[in-house]
Amino acid sequence: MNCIIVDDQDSARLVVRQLCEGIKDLDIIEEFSSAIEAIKFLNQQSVDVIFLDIHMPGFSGFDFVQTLKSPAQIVLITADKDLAIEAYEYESISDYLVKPITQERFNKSMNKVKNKLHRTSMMQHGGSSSDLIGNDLYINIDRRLTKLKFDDILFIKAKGDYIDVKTHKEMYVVHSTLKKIKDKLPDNIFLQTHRSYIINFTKIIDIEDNSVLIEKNVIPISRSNRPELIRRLNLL
Amino acid sequence: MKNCVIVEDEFTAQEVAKHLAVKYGDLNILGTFDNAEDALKFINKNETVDIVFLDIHLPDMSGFSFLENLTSTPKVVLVTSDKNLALTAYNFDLVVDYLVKPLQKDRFIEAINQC
Repeated sequence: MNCIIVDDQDSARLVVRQLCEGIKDLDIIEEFSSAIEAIKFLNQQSVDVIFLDIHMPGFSGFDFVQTLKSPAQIVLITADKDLAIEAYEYESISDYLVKPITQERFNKSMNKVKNKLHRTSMMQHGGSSSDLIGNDLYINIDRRLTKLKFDDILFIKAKGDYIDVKTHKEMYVVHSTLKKIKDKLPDNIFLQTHRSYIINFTKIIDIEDNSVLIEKNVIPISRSNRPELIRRLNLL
Repeated sequence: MKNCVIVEDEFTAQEVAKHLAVKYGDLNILGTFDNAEDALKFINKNETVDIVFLDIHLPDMSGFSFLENLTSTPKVVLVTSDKNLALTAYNFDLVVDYLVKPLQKDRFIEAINQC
């Protein structure tokens, strides 16, 4: 993850810098003493996280958030305890840290930010679920949103915090859960056959008792999911 | 369609939340509880709960103790008339939003969109 720090006080920026050093995969790419400078920078370049002071001369942290077009996650850093309720009004604000900040609380905050970034990184083409469902899904591979056509997906396998998305040519590893991707897939061609597998059942070659063959992959079918699969088949 | 649970001891607030959840949230309400203990039992053994609307001041425990006793990880939207606990709420990862009563339709929809 990359981040910027926006705070008018040098000492405050130093503290945030030190806290950031405690996080392995977090890089500070720039620091700003004025919100306006930061806005100019963000018009040129996108970042994952913005550490933002609320009280700055001229342009407050909330003014900054309202002006921001970038999809970055914002972590407010302030000595003022009384604005948390206002902070909840902004979806892009992930956390609200009150000085002095312990490394422990900061680490927790970064975990929260990571989860939020992962959550927003997997989105379906076509927007909200009430809109027309598109024919494709965007997955985040190395910060690149890669388009997959539903029809190219053979199956998806759960693997801890990750899922493997298998297409005819490739295997993509995505940080997500089976439950999340299931919500994004059209259920007229996808079906869960097992706790760890969702298949595109138009790709089935044959079905044995407790497994199904898709290309050269043997996918298990659990006893509880089998009736649903059989029901969906055009069976002679 | 997402599944939600409403934990709220005031009857009117409960009715308002139910109405908004169904009419604007397109949510399926799995249960409504007026106390924390019953709600915890239900949510902890029911993995299909996606969203919990939680009042902070409940008769048997605070909303924050409630969160500490959750073993599952639904998204939580706090609903309260107390404006002073937002800072504490930021300490809980499950909390996605903090709504101040009386519930407003637009603000409620914004909260659900984040879940």
